Amino acid sequence: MLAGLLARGHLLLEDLPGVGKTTLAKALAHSIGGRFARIQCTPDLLPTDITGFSWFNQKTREFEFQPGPVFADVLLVDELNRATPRTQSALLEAMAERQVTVDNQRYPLSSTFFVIATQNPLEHHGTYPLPEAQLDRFAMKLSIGYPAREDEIDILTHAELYEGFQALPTEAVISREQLQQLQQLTASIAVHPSVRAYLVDLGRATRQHKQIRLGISPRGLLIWQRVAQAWALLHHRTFVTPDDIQAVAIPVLSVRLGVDAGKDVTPVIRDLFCQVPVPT
Amino acid sequence: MAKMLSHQASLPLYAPSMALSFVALFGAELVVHADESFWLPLVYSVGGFAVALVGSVFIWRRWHQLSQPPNVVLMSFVLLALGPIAASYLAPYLSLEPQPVEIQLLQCLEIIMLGLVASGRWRRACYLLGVVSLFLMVASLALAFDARIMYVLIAYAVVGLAWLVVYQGFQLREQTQGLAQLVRSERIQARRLPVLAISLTLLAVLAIFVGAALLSSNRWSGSWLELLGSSGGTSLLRWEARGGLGDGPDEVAGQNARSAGMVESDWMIEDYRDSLIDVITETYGEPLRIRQPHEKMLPGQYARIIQHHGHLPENLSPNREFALHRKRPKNPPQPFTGRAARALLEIQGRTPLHLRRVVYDEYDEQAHSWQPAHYVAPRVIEPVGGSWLEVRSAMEAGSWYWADDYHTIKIARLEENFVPAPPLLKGLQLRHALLAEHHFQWNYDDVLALRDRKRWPSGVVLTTWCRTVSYEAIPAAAWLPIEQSLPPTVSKRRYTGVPQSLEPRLKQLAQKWAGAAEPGWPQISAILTHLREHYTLDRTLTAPAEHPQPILWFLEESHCGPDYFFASSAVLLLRALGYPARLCLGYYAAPEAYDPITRYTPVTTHDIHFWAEVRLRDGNWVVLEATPGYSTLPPKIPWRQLLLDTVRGVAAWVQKHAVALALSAGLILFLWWQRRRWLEWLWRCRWAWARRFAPLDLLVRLTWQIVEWRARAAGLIRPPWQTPSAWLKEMELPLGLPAEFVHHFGSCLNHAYYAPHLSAQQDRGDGLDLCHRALGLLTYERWRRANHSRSILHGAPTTRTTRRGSRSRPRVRALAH
Repeated sequence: MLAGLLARGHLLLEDLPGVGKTTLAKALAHSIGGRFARIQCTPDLLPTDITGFSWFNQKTREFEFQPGPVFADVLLVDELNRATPRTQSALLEAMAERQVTVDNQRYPLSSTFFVIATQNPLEHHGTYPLPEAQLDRFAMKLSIGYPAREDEIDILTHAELYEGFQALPTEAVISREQLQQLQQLTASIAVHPSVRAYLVDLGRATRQHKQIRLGISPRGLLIWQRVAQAWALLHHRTFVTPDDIQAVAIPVLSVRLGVDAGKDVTPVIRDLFCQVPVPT
Repeated sequence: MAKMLSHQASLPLYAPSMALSFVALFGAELVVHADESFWLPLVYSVGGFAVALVGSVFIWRRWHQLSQPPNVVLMSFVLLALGPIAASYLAPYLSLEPQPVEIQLLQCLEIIMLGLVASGRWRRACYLLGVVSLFLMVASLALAFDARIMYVLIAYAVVGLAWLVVYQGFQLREQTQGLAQLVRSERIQARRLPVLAISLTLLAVLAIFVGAALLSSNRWSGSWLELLGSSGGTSLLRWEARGGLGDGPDEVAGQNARSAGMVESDWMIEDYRDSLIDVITETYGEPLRIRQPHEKMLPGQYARIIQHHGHLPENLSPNREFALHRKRPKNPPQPFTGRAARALLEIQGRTPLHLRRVVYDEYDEQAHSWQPAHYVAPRVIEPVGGSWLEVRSAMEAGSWYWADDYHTIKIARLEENFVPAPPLLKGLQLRHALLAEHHFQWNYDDVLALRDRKRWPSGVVLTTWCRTVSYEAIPAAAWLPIEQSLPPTVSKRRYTGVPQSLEPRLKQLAQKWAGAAEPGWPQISAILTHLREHYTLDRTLTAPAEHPQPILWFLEESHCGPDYFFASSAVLLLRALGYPARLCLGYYAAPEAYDPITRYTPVTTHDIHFWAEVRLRDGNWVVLEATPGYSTLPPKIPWRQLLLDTVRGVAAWVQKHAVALALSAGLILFLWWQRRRWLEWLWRCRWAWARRFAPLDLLVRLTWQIVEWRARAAGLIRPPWQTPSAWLKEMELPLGLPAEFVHHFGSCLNHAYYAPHLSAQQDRGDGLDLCHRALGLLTYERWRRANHSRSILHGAPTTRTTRRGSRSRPRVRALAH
């Protein structure tokens, strides 16, 4: 998650209900500081409920823009796939270009605008699958999974803390300016041409793999490189190695590789690594 | 309806594949039976295809549960495919017509395709069938000279198009999946089969033969190359044999109006032997004659006297002597290449070939001319089965002959009646003609001819069966003496006589040239070699009319002349040494004239040629070639002898270089045994040299190369998807390395490989120390122990079995974490 944040990418949390997706997203949002907003997606959610709308002020006799929750620094979109495609599309511009357009008026978003979306993979009833264009806006897709036995015992022991999100941090651990500096530092992490070529070869291999319907796009490669840079930064390195590329491959690729329904993308990604040797 | 199996070919694949193969089979049969009508190839192809289809039903019922056609079926058809090649060796014993190499290979491909048709119910066989049918069609096109093949090609294209549209169009996805499965199963199959071992074995066998061929004498090494396919010419050894000639206008009858052919008036000269007047006159010039009026009586139905003044017209001259005093020829033969003439006959088989026409045995000292032979050795022509006629001599053949050879000779415009057969003839067969032994007669000794016929009809195809001989292998006793081989009625002087006036000089020359050579072939070879090396062939040169002895003029003065001087000199010189020799006139089928388009060697009137022959103890005459630029038919060496010669050659070479070979082998073994040590030393030297000049990153990379080389030597190979630092981290525990060293050296490796353009993280001294430490810690012994412990922990196999690029599932799973 931190790598996604440093890479200025958006996160998609996909897991079973009740494993702590929303808690994790809120914890990250609170720790960053800045303005936090949350959208609970439902089928009757409208695009203006996300982007905001213009209303007529009878006192001033003018239309005024009422910003929506998208104008936050951290936006938590809960159960994204419950929104209609029309509403989902309202997020496209915001996630890709960090701006929204309402009534032909462009409104820039925060420079640290960061979307954390959650979705339930099993609840197909009343959900709308995310289109590829929407998925490609996300940097990574993460799964939390069930906690370990000891962790679950700990959760039960401190049950009162988890009720009402009392365990969440009350103060931000990093300021907005510090986050911007870290994001700039991430972008300056060096990538050797051989590592870049390795990344491109992996990307091309996704387009030629027999089990992949839709390979990675150039935008996906850009995000993959940036996330790898963030991963290298988190490991106190000033350059990217193929290990960084491989380490972030599964979360980066699983959100954007088109494989047949019901098939796990992880073995396919492992197969890709077997096909492309690391540069030495 | 029975459920379709996954490996079963679907109907859209099966039906067009069968249609494609049938069309290709029919095309190939058209080529094989090029001389036949349309129906025979059709019957053969329908019959063969029907048998394969019926076989496919039985094969599928018996083995349908297998995912691929049973090996026993495939191997059976592979063995059957060798049948046409085996048949060519057994042809003389089975009364079969030997087929050209190309046709044999085409038939092999046909049988392989029929094997796939029989296995066509399997999907994989169907795919292969399409490919093989394409090969067969292409091969048929390349070999065909029949315009009918174009209709077959069109049919093949139409069926192929239908196959593409019907199958590829509607079943594309299925086919793609099928191919993917096929590729996957092929990969699995490839892993199971010892492909590497088989390839290495084949390469080793090939290397042995090539090496033996390069290291040994020319005779048998060249003979291996003879095994390469060729329908004519000599072999790949002679590049001229691959050059063709263009056909041109008909020049058989000659350009001179007077030489419009042999005398046709039967009542004047009642003799069926060919006169050769026109050809010889054109080639070698007219003989010089005494210009005096004279009378001559010609035999005929009625005795007639032709009174004329001046010289007798050449075409009315009844004698067949050959004078050495001649005028300059008006139309000397052109070289073998670049001439235009229509062939008298065309030969398929190994060349060069000498076709006897006239035999001269006595040299007239006064007239300076050769007299035709009269004696004919007793030989019998007998049918031996099929349409083969065997030529048997009264004397038993010697044991020095090599394997028999076969030639197919097609008569084009041979306006003569002699049988164009190679020397040492054993038998002959006439295709499409029912001829018995009484249809032949002997024109001269060893010159067979049609009885009571003046010429051959065009289009007759003759297959000849002859012995081949290696002159070196003939024992010395086989050349001499003649007294044991000639009947008492025959004057031995006809074959050994030398003119009295020439004898001292010729004997002196022969002894000088032969030198100290042993009697037999060494002596004969010395004479022939001297003539070939010190004398020049010039067809336009003639002996001066005033010279008393044209032979001496050639031998001592001019040192150049036409081929009859070479042959006459060889005959007389050999006779002076005591060998029974004679002069022969005939046609020479040159390898240079081989036409790759028709795959025949044409013989024209320009190929008339003189050569010498020597009689062996068993009564057979062998060809000796003294003329530069001409050669004799090499022996056909059987497989067994070829192998034996190869082994002997290699053994001789090994024996000759035994010490050097032993030392080399010992050195190689020692180097192999100690390879790790001296390679390590070389690596160390390189590292020490690089330490002085190379930047730190380069030195770190070199250090890792040494470390990785040690690991490989110990049987551990880094997976291609792992970086050096990641692998080192993984091997930390098995190697028992300190964690801080792994961390530092891993960082150093990462920097050296993936950030050499950035400033170094540590100074050079620390980096050098780290590299030193790495070389000291990551030793070969440590890697070997690690490999051993891994193999104990995980069981066999070790990482050595993981080839570069191969997929190892357990390792990949570890990678994901």
